[in-house]
Amino acid sequence: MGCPARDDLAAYSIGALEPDEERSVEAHAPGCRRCTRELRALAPAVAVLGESVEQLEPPRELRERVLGTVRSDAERAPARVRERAPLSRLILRPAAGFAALAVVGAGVAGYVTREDEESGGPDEVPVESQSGVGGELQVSDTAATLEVTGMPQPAKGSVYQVWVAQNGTVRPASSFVPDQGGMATATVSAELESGDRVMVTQESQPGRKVPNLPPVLSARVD
Amino acid sequence: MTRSELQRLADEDLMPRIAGKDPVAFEIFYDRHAGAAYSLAYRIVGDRQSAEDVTQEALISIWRSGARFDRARGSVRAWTLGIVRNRAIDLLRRDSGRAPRPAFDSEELLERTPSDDLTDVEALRRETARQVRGAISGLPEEQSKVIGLAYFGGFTHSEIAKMLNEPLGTIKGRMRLGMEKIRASLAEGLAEGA
Repeated sequence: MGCPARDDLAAYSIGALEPDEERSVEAHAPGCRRCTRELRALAPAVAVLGESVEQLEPPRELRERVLGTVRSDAERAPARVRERAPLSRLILRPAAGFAALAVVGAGVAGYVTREDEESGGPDEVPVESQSGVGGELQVSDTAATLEVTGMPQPAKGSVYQVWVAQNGTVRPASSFVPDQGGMATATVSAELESGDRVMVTQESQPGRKVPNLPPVLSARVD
Repeated sequence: MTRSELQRLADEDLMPRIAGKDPVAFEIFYDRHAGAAYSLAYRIVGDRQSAEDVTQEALISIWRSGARFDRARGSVRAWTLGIVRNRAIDLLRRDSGRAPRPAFDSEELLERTPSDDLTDVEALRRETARQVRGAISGLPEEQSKVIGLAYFGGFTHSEIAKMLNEPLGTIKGRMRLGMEKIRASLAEGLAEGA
């Protein structure tokens, strides 16, 4: 493929391309010196757009909420360098050959991955599939947080939908659109137990009651 | 490492600490960037509660995935604001009935802090924002409008073309010219400050 027009690179830099055009730029630019140079030159201008708004003082309660969550997370997983466990030690359920999603426990409900007896077991293990899509599900006693990486942008107007399969029923949990780097975090409001399944599907619109199978990612809690 | 030692670290050196789940490092990160994050979120979503939700989601996602910051791709501030912007635009897209807030003009501030209470860092942040707004306000209106619709409104170039009843090529050309002018004015500012 030839280089995108400079107009397209400028539009890409501020998130103005259509999803398929955006994917074309992302497939081409990393290996192209000219396009990489052009995008790097635009980056400072993009960065200042975010800084250009009137500066407001965030509410004190927001600080308390965010830092409260952070401290709570830190108490469950004390600061340390995280060891990445070998993939073979995890119980994974790849979905339709697309990707694998590691399910990890945050300590409250116990690990849902198989413990590694030698090292004390993984508590957070990013996993990537061959397609580059991966994720982590951190499970607590009342909810779970899904973090995905390498997700392609969904088709225009579409979203990724998180589903929980539990007690013989499937219900929507939350929806998300990954950022341009393919990352997203979604809350899964469910008390997950052994045998429950969490899935991610691409849906043409948010709010659907029935998943559009097959899932892009899937994991079963063991 | 003590809190005062952490406070002397550059953003890029704080991120590995955050990736290692150091809550004090994150607190310092919060105090440096939450104001800019909340301000951008408010600018895009247009109400306080949604701005708080977007900021909270974005910052907690950074805490939980801090290891993914790549210093080769820009500053921590730019990376953080990119995450906030994407989450805010996601919210707008989910709630498609909401009107975009595309212009660069000033707007009513809900929680101004009296200037006497500003720390040096905060005052610098606001002065920087004021200077940047000055650079952007120098753009021809048709250029600032299409950039604002895309960056703050989350619209694609073809949506903007339909909205403004202009050819697609015209819209993309305005985006490029506007971005190049912002880039040039930043370079001039740096040269003047050198």
